[in-house]
Amino acid sequence: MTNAPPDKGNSEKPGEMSSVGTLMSLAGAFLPVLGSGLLRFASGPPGAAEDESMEARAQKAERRYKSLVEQIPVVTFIVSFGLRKSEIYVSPYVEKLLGYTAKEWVEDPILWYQRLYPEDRVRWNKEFSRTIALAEPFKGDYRFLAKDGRVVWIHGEVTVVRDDAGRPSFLQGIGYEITELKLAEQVLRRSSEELDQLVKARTVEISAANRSLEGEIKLRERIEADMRRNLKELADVKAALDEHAIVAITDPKGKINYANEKFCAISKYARWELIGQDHRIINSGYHSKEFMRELWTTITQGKVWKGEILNRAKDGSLYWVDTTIVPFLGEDGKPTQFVAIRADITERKRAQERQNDLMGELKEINEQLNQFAYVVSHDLKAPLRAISSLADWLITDYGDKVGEAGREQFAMLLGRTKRMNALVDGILRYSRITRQHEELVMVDVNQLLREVAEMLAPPPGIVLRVAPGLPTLPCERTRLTQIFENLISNAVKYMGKPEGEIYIGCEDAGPNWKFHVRDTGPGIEERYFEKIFQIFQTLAARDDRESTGIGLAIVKKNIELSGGRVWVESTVGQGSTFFFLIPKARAQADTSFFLHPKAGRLAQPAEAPNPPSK
Amino acid sequence: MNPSISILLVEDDVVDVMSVKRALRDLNVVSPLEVAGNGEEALARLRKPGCPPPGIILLDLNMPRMNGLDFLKILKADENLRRIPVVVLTTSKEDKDRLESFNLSVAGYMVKPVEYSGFVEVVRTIQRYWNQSEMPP
Repeated sequence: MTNAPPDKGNSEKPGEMSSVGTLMSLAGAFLPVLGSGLLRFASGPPGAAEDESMEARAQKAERRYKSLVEQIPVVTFIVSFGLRKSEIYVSPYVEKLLGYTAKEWVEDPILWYQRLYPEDRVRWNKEFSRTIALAEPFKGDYRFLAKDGRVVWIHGEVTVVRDDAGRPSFLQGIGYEITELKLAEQVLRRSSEELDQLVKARTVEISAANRSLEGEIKLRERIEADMRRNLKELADVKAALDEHAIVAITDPKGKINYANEKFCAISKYARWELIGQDHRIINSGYHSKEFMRELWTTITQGKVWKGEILNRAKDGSLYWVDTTIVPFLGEDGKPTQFVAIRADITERKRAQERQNDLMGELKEINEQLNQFAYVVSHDLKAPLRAISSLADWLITDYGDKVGEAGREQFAMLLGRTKRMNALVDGILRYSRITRQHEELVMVDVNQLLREVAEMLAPPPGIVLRVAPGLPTLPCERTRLTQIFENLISNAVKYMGKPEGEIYIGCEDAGPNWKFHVRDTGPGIEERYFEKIFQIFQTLAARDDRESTGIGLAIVKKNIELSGGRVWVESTVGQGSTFFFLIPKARAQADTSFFLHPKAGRLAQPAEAPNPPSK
Repeated sequence: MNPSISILLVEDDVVDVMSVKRALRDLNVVSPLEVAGNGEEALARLRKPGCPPPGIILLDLNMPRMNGLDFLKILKADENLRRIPVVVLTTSKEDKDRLESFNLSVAGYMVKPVEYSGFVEVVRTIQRYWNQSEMPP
């Protein structure tokens, strides 16, 4: 509004004429062309003396106009391009406006420029130089400094007056005060600006609020979407859970307020029969009060309970459920509801029970077999001993009466009874292996072999070489003793010659220790590698009383009961090596299961075969 | 060995009884041998009034009616009989039998050998023990 952009396109001289001198010289350039027309108007026409009355009339009219003009509260002025004082006119109203008298203005042709408000000078230069260049009328609002320092806004209008040839001759113009207008304008502008600022500020505020609102809306939408998704997922999970498990929800007192299809199906109750009841409705009475109390204590303390429960359906049938009860806690940490998730494990329980029964029966049969072996052996021994004794007495008392052949036959009879006795002893020892149960102890094999060697006391020709640094391992001491005893005594027994060597060693075989007992005996044909471990299988002659075929069977049984296995490698004529594995680590065999196979059985009859009759 | 103090053999097997008799004869043991066929008979003999107690009891374990271990329990609970030394003479090598016998304070545990010669050695050992060991008053 105040600073109109300079119109550079039409200006021959761009408005950089900032110094008064430049302007003055510019104005002066026009001067010769202007002639004296101005003077005629300004201070009375330079007259030809011959027409005096006309001149007088003219002067009179001029005075009239002058006084008229001077009545208007506007400064009028005329300035020739020569800036000669005589050619300048300023109306006296100027004194009212700016404090300087008209005379002062005329005396000092550049006073007006000095009083022009410094900040407005550049603008004035621009606009005024344009007026001069184009000889166009000029209008503008400028601030002037009055003599007393006031800032006075003046609206000025200047016209270039041309001579007959159209050349600029002088300037005439008016100026009047518009300070109040300007101030009002300023006030208006300021308040408008303030309003503007306010509006802008509000707009910023509102747009910020809008933005945050938009953000919030987006967030809410996202949360809602998440929630919808979560809800859907939850619903899906619940559907999946309902598909898989028996689900019930109870209030903190245990009253059922939700039961899914599976719950209804397995309990054979309608949903309305279950809702509002507590779980006593399906109580089988199988579990002890302590059991139920422990369950209840756990969940009321806010802890998850897991276990297996036997329930009773509406029709009285029983079913086992693997149960997890999860308490949902309120803000006070106390359960607000309990969610029970159960799986039908009746079949598994039955199978388990069947297995238990079968294991129990197996155990029983095994015991019977052992008992049988024991009793038979024992009962066989008495008559055997009787035969032996009677034969002995016969040969002692009547030996001279039966002749040489008779005595020989009695001797054979005695030999056979001894062999039979050895066999029976073997059966007893073999049956004892499975009956003996020892604690697992850490056994130092080096020490154990020293004891075995001492006990066996091999004949002087047989050298027993034990590798150093044998391991210490967890095992049943008697079993390991029997294993080494039999292997070493076999090696001694079947060396087949008075001199020989037996090597014992061990190597690390991952989870096992791999022991070997090697001899320099006659060796064993490969076709007998399996057979020698069977009970009563011996490669020696039948009437060899020492060879009962029980030793390796005992070795095999002991190794297998220790969790290992045994085999032989041999080359005929070079000797044999018996290898066996013993686990490095072994859990104590849990026999409690066998002792109480019927613990926790179902109330329903199990479909197990009847135990075999005795 | 005091010839007037008897030996009580508790044994159901006739041949085993014969073995003991013959072994005692072979060993020239003159102490009288009394025989009871089972635990009940043995208790009846021991509790018979006017019968002096035997100096030693040779006890089989496997017997009808009352077996050796049951007999031992009663014997050892009896204030009058508990101090009579008992040597078990049996076929059984079972841990269980040995354990129970010694829990019931037997003086010895002998396994009957299958050959008569071995049997004689066993009886000789018992006789020597009984001969040399101090007996309760």
